[in-house]
Amino acid sequence: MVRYILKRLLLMLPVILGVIIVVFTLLYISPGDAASIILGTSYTAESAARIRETLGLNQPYLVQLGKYIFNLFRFDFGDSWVSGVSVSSELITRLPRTLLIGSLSIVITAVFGILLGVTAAVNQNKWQDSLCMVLALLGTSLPGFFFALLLALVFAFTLQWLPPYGMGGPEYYILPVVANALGGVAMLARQTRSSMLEVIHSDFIVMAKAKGLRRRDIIYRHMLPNALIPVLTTIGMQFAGVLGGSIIIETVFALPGVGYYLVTGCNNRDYNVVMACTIIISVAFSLVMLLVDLLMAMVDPRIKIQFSEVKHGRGK
Amino acid sequence: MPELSMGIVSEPAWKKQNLFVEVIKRLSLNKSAMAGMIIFIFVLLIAIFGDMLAPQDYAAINPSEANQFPSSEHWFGTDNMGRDLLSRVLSGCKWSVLIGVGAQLIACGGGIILGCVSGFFGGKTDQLIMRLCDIVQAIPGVLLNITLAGILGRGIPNTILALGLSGITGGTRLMRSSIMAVRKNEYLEAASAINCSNFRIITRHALPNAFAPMIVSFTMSIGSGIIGASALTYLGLGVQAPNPEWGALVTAGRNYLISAPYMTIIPGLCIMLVVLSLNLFGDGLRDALDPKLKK
Amino acid sequence: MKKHSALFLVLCLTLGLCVSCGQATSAPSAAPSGEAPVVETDSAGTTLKVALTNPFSGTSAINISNPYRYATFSQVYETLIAYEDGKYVGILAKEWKKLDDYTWQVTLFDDIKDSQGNPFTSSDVAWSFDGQKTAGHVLRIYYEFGAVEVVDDTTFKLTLNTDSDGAFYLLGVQMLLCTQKASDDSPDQLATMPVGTGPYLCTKYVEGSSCTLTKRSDYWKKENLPKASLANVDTIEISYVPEAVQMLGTIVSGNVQVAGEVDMSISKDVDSAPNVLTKYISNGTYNGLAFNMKGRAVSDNKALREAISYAIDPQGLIDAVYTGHATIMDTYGMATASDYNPAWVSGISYDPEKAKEKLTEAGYPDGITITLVSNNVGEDAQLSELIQGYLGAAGINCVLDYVDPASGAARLAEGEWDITHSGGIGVLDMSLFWGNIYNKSETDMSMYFHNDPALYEIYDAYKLAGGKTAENLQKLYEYEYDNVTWLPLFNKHVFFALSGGYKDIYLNDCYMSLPYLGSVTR
Repeated sequence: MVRYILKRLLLMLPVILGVIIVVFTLLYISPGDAASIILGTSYTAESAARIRETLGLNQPYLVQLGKYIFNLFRFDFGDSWVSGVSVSSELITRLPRTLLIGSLSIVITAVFGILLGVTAAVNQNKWQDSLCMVLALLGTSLPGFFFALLLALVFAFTLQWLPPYGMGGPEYYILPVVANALGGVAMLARQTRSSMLEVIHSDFIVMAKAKGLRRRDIIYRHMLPNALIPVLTTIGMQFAGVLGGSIIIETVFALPGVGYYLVTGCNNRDYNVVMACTIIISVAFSLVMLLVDLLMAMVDPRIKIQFSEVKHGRGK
Repeated sequence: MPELSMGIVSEPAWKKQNLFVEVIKRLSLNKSAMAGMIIFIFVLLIAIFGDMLAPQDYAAINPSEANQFPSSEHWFGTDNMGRDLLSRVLSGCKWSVLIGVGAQLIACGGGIILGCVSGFFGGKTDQLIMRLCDIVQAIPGVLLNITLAGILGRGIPNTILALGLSGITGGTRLMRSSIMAVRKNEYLEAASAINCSNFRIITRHALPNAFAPMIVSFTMSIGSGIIGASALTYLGLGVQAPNPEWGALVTAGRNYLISAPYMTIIPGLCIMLVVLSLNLFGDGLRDALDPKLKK
Repeated sequence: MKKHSALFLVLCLTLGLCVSCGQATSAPSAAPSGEAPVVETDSAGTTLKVALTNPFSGTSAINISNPYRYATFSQVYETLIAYEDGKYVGILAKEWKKLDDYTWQVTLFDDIKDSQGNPFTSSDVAWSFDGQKTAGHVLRIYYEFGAVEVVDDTTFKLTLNTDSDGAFYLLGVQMLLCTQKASDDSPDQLATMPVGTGPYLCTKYVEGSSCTLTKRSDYWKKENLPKASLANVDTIEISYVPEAVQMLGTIVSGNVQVAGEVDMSISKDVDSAPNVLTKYISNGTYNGLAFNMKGRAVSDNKALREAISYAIDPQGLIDAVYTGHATIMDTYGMATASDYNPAWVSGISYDPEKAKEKLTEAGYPDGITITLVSNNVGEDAQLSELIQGYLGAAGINCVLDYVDPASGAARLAEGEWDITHSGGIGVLDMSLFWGNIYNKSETDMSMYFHNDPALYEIYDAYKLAGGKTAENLQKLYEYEYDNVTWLPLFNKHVFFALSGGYKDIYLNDCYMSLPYLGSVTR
């Protein structure tokens, strides 16, 4: 198992390196001259040349890329072009907020998604099923920012129970987290339901029923663990959704996390910020996916075997 | 990916014709799927004929009739520029549908090609494609869209392209796993035994038998494409006003959520309805394609 | 069994992740970003909660073209002068006088100290002004700045590129200044924690989210305080709320006592909210439409420019985008200019029939397609949609070319456009107004490609020292009246919402009516 984890960790490095190269290249070829963005209204050919010189933008692509990657090893993402603030120090204060929202959202997603899904599956074609699935469907059918605004409208404006924006105590996180979790809950409920249904018709469940096991035991001891693998994958994938969603949610609720930073960076064309946020979010996501894979390998040893098979090219 | 190994893959190929009829028959018994299909056909009709049905030009401003609540004259009310919202919603339908379908065509098209290659050949090719997928998938979709939108510029085609390109990896993984699931079947071995070309084996034998999850995913993802486009528009990176794409309508009306809620609620409900109908239909399709669930 | 333990593991890991993240967060977010000095505040002190719409990046005094920083940091940094009750009063500057056409001599107060105890002297002024040269995104008025010559600790000579008095006052009112020592002592040149000479001290700043200002007990100025230096509350807590609906919610629920930069789209809702006082004030800006004067259909065709001008209804724009809170601008220039003459009318008003006539006269009876370059966000985007609608009704097909604000100037420089939004702030005298439209850039043309020798004969004569005569101004006006190269549209208003017993707040009339938050009164 340790070897497997190490192997996966090693395999993660090229992925992260790949992300850095892809993002760097995308931004390198994208329109918009750094010097004119930095100088804004005070653009002159002379000062632009000086800025390009100081930033090393005259150098060839590969040299720039190499330098960027080298600086990354020292956790140096450069300075924001607009404010001159070190991007790394901004990220250090912002990342925990985004991760907090992300993890809380994912926990809520997992708990409610699985609950709804299981309820729907064990009551297939009854009213509980319909109710859960209608809720789930509504959840996937709403644009996230629209739902977030509606939440703010109801709970912060009409009822005035919760603060509508900003940072502070735990109550400030409730609306963003709920808004962020919605899409995930809906998706996960549907995934749980369908994989539970697959399991429900398996022979061993029929067997368990025949043995006269209690209904709850059947559901939680036999069905759920077996239905969990695809559910786990979905939860892992949802983390991407949650991190991506945080870009929107943080914008709606004015939460100064990485997502909000990224959107401001994009709008200002502050490419150092964009690059750093992308890389940080991607690394966080890769780590979570790794965690999910490890969990899955634990739950289902077949996957581990399958993995090493493909790795050695023994599969067809 | 056990969740994707649907029952259909074990069906022998010669039953294909019957299977199609069978699926339609099962589908027609599923009320919610039929409801979804009817709604979506209705939406498609509006997408095609919306411009003709619209009582007014969707871009015609009329300041003297601004900010009117829904009435018999303006069924959906008017916005702050006095434009008739019914006309805007009707004309916007085709753009929303186009974005959703277009993005999924790109995503599924790319996904099918890459997924087939990856799943069928395995080995180094598979590793290469999967690692590339890993890289691209490590960048959250919204972010990839933002970057792509920055490079491509704004507008409908670019939004479609941005959403489609970032969906390719998901399609690839899906296709790969279903191809891998059918790969071990005997009829594929038989095909290669009689010296079929790889291309023929993939297109004639492997693909048709591994296609079901892709159809389901295609149906369901149209909705998420529409929602993704509206998120991009909200961030100021997607469809550009005055195009009345539904996401743009929601975005444009959000400041008036209290004084003129119909400006956001109506296009919001429209998006919801389309996505809902597609999800219902997709669910039904999945059930219909999976005999195991229909015992 | 294995499955069972795996399930348990999932739960443990999720919980672990959650808990660890929670702990990780509490540490850094509790500490303010940057090195904040700890300040003992009177626990019984008054706290003013403020919501502003526009977040910004960076806290340095230098590099300040984003006016929205000013609303926050004009309490921390100070300017040389302020404009109050119709006259200029000194803040850092004790007195000033004009030595010759281009040079001003300014004397500073001699006991100025910033919140870290560093004395503020003439050399700091020179350093602040020079620092702008290497920083991007400076104020537009900064281009009129020539040099600062230090005479002694409290006296310096400021040389400008123009003999306009307005330029001097605008620089004096808008330029935030700080000591070089404070900037050098800061690890990031004050980029995350401002240190200035103002009546308030920044104790906490979270970029894009919030800022807390605390009253300084050791503020250098003790008596004869101008309104800009007032500190009527002990603590100011500012939140930045970009979403209009959130802003509305926070105003109505009474969470904040002052809301500024509020989006006009919610003005009616705020007006009708109980216990909320709304104040609408012209923000001293002007908006118009500029024509591309080189190589386009509109460039050599006055009738076409007139057709476009007659086709647009400024009142329609005002009603739709600003819910009526703006005034039509039907003259060249603004009443804020000391040498303004209300007789300088544009002679153009909304008249769709006349627009069609002019279009025929211009040689396009069957219509024409033109391009409007516009910012793709906010008011500009909405205005563009409306203008497109108005022009469409007159038979002119207007293509909208949206650019993001960061690349707007570059797109204009490419020259592939016919009309664009054109506006400005701070018209203290008419030279600032005409300068925005006619001033030549590197390409030896104005940013709207004005290159008519007849125009530049008049303009250059006007621009020279001593050339700012009523006669020259009249010539400029007549040129514009005859040629219609710039269409005046409207002067915007801003609005403030006050609640919690607060009745008034002092606004900077020379800078977009931005508030001095500390001056709030009950």
